[in-house]
Amino acid sequence: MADTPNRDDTQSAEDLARDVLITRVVDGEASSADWKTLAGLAATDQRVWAELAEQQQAHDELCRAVEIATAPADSVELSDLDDHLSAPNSMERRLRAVGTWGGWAAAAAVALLWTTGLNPTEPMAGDMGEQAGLVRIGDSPEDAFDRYLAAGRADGTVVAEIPDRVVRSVRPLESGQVEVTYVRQVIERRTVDETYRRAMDEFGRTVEVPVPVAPAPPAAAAAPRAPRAF
Amino acid sequence: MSDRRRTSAGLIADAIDGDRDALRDLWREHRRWVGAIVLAHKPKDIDVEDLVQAVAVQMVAKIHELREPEAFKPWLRAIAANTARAAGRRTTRRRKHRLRLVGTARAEERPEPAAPEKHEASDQAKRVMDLARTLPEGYREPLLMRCVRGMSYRQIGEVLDLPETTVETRIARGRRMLRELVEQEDASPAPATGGARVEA
Repeated sequence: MADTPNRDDTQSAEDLARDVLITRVVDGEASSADWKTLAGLAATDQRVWAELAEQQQAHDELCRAVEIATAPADSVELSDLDDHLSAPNSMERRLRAVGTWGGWAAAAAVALLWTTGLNPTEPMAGDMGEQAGLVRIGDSPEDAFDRYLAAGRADGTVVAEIPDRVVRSVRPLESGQVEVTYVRQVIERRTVDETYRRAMDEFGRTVEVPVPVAPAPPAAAAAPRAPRAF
Repeated sequence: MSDRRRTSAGLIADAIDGDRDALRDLWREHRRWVGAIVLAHKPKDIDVEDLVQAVAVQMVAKIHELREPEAFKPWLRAIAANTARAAGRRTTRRRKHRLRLVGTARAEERPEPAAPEKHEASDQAKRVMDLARTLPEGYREPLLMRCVRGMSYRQIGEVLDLPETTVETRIARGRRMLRELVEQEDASPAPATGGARVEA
């Protein structure tokens, strides 16, 4: 076993015997001889009772947390795996479940995280901040943005820009002009290696869970994707 | 049900022979401690349930390769530990290559708060568990397994392929180390839950 314990050199035999004794009591494994030994120990060192109480409390706390953390294991049935093994498109299955539960509107709103297979050191066509090659000295932000759209359309990473610009705020200025803050929406397309869904862990914390996706049937995969006009 | 099914060894033998009912019963009997092993090795941001399911898939796919029924528990433990460790390695590797694109969910479609019983563990309990998960594997596995429905030292020993006395000693030492970790963290000015590390 890796990470094999080796604490013999840091703990005396006497301390170890004491720890083992307390452990037996905490775990309900103590014999009557153990109880006698404990009573004898406590007669000379009253701290042993406090130590026992501390260990008992720590054990109870640990077990409460472990019980909750491992409870989801009880919901894993092999009968569920029949579906899993025969149709490994787990994502489809999950989305179907969500769709059944809350309609496709809810399914479509499931937040997904994608992991790309891109090398992070390579500039990505869709990422303005890393497009040193796309931004020229003297370019206005508008020019640079247009260049990004053009380059993206050329390599297929930009599908379109939605013409509607969504207004976030409007603020009158002293000059009599109006400052408008808005969102420009660009539809991008990426080929990704893996998908993740967001889920709650056993303590209600948000975690990312890998969602396996089965490859599309060859015919569908081979069919060119028609660009959509906006 | 065959006569040999009445014993655990018989159940394992039937499952190895391809009896699906035996396989299902066998899984139900052992899945909870599999959860504890997964918990002992998994990265924080991976779901216990998903990893346990991955272990179940491996068990179903490979149990026919098992020659000795006696080796079943250590074999299943190895699958659980390896599955959880592999998930950790993948998480670390892929996080470096991750592009986050998070969809906007409407307020009413956001995940519902977890059921109240999921929050039963106090912050202190979670803290103790997080610290226990930083112990060397030889200590944390028996310590966590001991919490699975009061598994006995003998049962833990069967899974870890260790004598009972060794299991007992490791639990005792593990508890002392855990207590030292808690004290150490309490004494530190800026505690970082789960960040402690103990070298074997």
